[in-house]
Amino acid sequence: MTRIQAAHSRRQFLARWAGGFGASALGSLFAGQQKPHFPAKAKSVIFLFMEGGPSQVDLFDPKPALVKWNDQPLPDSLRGNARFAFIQPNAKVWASERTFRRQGASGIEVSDWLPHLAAKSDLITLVRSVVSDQVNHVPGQLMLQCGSPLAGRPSMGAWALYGLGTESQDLPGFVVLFSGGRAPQASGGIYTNGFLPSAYQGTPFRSSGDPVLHLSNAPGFDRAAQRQRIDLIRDLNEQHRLRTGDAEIASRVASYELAFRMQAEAPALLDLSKETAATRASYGLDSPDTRQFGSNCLLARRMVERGVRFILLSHASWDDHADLEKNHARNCLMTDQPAAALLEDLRQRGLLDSTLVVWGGEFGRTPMVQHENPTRPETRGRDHHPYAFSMWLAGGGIARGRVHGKTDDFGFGVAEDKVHVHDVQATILHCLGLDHEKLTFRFQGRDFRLTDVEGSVVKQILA
Amino acid sequence: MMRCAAVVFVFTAAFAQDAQSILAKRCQPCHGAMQQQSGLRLDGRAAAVQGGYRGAAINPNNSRDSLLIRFVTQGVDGKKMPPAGPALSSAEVTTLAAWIDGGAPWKDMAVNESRAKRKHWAFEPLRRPALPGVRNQAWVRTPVDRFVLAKLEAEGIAPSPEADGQTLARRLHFDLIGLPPEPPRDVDELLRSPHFGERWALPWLDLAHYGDSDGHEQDHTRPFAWRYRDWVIRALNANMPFDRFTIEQLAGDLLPDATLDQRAAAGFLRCTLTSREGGIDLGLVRDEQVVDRVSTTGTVWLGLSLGCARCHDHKFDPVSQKDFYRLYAIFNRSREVNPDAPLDGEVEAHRASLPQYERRLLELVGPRVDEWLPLFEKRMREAREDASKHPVWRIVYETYRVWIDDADHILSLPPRKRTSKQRHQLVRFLVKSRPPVLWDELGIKDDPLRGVLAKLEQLDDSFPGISELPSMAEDPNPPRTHVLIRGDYKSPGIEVDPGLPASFTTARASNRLDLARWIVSSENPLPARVAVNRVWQELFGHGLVATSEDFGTRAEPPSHPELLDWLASEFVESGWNTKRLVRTIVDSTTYRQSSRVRSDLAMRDPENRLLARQNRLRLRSELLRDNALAVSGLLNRAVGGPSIRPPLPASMMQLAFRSRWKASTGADLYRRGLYIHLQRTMMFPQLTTFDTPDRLASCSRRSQSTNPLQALTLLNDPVFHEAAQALAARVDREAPGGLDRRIDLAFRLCLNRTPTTAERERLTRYHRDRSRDAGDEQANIGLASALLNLDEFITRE
Repeated sequence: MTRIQAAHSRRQFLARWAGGFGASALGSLFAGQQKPHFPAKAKSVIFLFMEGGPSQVDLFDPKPALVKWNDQPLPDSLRGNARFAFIQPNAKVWASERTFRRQGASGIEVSDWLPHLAAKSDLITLVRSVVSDQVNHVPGQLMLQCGSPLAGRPSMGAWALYGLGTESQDLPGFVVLFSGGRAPQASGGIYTNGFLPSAYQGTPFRSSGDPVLHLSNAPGFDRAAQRQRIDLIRDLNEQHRLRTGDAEIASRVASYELAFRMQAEAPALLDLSKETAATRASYGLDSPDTRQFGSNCLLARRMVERGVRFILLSHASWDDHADLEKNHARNCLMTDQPAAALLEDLRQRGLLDSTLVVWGGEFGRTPMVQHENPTRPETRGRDHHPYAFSMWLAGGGIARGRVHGKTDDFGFGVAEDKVHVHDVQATILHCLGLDHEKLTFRFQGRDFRLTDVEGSVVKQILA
Repeated sequence: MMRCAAVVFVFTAAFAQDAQSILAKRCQPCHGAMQQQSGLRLDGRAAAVQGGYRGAAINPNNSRDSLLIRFVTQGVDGKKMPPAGPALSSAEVTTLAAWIDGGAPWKDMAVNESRAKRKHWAFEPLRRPALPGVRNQAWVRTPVDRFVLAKLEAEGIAPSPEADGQTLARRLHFDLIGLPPEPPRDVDELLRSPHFGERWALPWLDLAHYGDSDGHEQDHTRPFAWRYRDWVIRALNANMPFDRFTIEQLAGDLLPDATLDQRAAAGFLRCTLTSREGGIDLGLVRDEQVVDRVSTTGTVWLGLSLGCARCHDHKFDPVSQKDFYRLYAIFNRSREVNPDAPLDGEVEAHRASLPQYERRLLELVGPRVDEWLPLFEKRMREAREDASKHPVWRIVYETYRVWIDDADHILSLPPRKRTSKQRHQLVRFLVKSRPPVLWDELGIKDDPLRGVLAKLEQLDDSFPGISELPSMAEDPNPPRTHVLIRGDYKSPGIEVDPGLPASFTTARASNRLDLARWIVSSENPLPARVAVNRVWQELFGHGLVATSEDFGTRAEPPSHPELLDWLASEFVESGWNTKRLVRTIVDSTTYRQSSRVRSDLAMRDPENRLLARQNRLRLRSELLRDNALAVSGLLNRAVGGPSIRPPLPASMMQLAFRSRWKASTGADLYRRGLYIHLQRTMMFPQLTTFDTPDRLASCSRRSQSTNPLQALTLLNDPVFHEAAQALAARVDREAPGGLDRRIDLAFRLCLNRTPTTAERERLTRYHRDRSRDAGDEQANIGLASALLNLDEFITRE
């Protein structure tokens, strides 16, 4: 056994049999701190998950050629046997009405819907050639976040936590935040621990009320009374540990201490009043349009500072089969400024080099139109499109100001440097210092991994 | 031409030997006697012509049309052969092509045509081992003890003393009925208790991956899923023989004169997920369901990861991809049905109110619905036949199929042959979809059904319906089954017939009943071994085979192989008597040992595989809740019935995609955890925090984690707070007088023992401090709550 394998089997042993088979007291608690396979560039990941599928031809992938084809079907040769959720393959082209501009030294073209990101485009690598295998939301979301369209596999955040543990003493290592009006269609599927131990599951933080479920004391208990109660529990547990000799009881005692600290720390984390007015304004906390996503972005930075390993922000939804012009403009308004502010804030604080930021949805949208009502052109929309879409990555381990991959003239298929979502996953793990082929867990007789049996690191986008 | 061919033949005859040597060197390692990747053998002419899952590998006399040549030149689906080592040189390709064009003559050599099944303990026939001799005869209560003690004596390890009576009573109660020993009962009573079935349904429902919702997208509720859960509880309580238990779940509907109860058993196969996402590919959904049925059957009864063979031949176990799709073909012959299965009193109420319902329905949708329906149906039928003719109608039709169970069947029936229920389903879909294209074609200007849906749903809710139960039936026109290349249902390979794994049996099977009967036949040693191991796992925390889901060649061997086989033989010979098996184990000295951790074994046997003691096991999430409700006197012990929904924190609601969580009221709030509604995409947090699996796939072993969210739940969750309040009040009521008496009673209720002096002192000190700050009542609550938080309280020792 190599050292890494030995560490892994010990970890599996601890994780699976955390309850009473001789695991050391703290070994299983959030899995402690573990070692990467090789030196990591990123310590934390912030995944800005744009649920529903943002339209790449309207945001990141300018296609002037489409104007010529407007209102005509795509050439047969291109369509092949592509399948869509609703429209037929002979649906008509709808050229984007956006204008694209180059801004910054790197000259990345970004749509006028994203002025703030355009101004920070020198910080990101834009990948225009992402593909997925899934044409529907739930399988697509599971594919992106869990590496398989089948429900029940662990999510990326759970894998990261399994591989590395957390560095936070007071907070869960994998936190999920929501914005936009609803939860993602795959719901808990995108932050599940799957078959990994439940300590690795994402903890949803709520923006109102208790940020973590049952964080507030029960009625009648203030902080001092809670301490008193936990002290009593600790002392009785401690006596029982001596009687039974079971080290797992020490682990339970420790979990109460962590819970107690979390009760103080999580509300402190949510208290954004300590941030300067300038910071708050930069994230758009002053405007009702940007406040929700802005708060989540700012919280993400504060969690990174506190050692949280993986932060998933889900913004739902970009699923505009109809009324795309109106709804996409609104989503861009809500998310553009905060996402750009997050990049700049991380950079200014020296955290961007150790934090990987990823932006993307489960697929993109068709260059063709989906017409619900031909008499009202303003209601036009686009269908799901997993055959070529855009994502961007920035920070820990990723090159700055680069464009990777190319689509064909119609933005329909990939022309150069195809990047499958498994490759994105392999690259994210790589930035964290994890080899996606070695990060495995034995379940139902098989060694599973995030990237299933595929995926390779996209070396061209690494710094 | 003739002349040409003849010349080529002479020419290629010389190549035959070379071609065979290329095949031997570069192809046969994966496509030969030892392995047949993709079902292909290239070590004989007939086998090569027959080909693998993609069809014929060579087409004699036509190299250009031979898969083999395409694979070694440009590749197929991005896959080029051979996958390892250098590509074939152009000279080698020419050799192969010339050989094929010359008719592919084969120089005979002896080949072993059958695929040898490797010798592996789990696949060996079941033989009842002799009982081993032991020195310490006094230790032996049941034959189980001989096997365990013989091994301990051989290792020179002394077993642990028996656990004290109170601990043992608590252990037996939690293990057999999942409730604390209040009042205490003996083993016979526990085995007869109606709560036995509830307790033992828990691991079985994990295996079946039972849930109360679709699992995908909107995650619709399945209002009648509980009928299967109730069947499991009843079957376990009745001690249904395990072979019967197996057959009814896999094929209850196919038994002669199947009763509704037997059809409910087949609800096992309905625990698969469904998607009702608009635009979803129904072929994909069905493929996933059938794959799930095969894989789950493999895990549950065979202890084999059959799912591994979905995309390729199993890498370690003797299951080929073809075997997988032969099993797939068995399940592919069935369709999902939801027969009416009225509960007591439903039929009368339904019949009485039917005329009134029809009248109100007509008022709602208007009399013109009869003019709309024929066109509506006709267009959907047309769109079904030809997807491209009416693209918009195709969307309507596909949505119909996604939303309505048994959709195609209803659409195909002539209107007068439909039941009123089927007709209502069509009307309901019309009201729900009300496609603009219909009104256009009918020349109706304004959508006449706008706003009707809400009223219709209201009407449906207020109308006494007939309960259904989810089951299966054979499809009169089953689809053909093909090997799916790399598991992709859009890449069909060769067609296969229903059948059993070839290396395990030569028996034939054409439907689920054949399969189920083969599974529990005397020919198959796996199910008995797998089943007794799971019972052992429940009673000790880990199985004799640690990987209870995997008995394949990569599994760790059993810690006590003879004991496993003795239990399995005994189980079969007893007529698959589950309660008797449980009894044999819990009566043993091995089971009754203390669970105290022994420092002398920390290095030698850290995982306690040798069983020189019992194990401390944290209670399952459901039982942990039951326990708190039971000791506080709140628990509602009713058995069976529809799922209940305890209140969900408001902040949880925003997390689900579209949730309709209507909290239960009254006594339902205090039902056992087993009955909590399992909304798969938004599992009840109290359960998942304590490791309830997500029920998306079969789970044979729960993980057991310790984390701070558990502490927050036990400290602050309103249910546990309410239990603490109730416990404090109960203690106050039942033990009036001094604090000492209250502490004694609370301790007895929660831990089934009296406190030590140190514990009493510590509790007294807490009570004194707390009542000084907040008064006596708060101090009582705090004390009760602390007991409900103790590691000892949530652990079966």
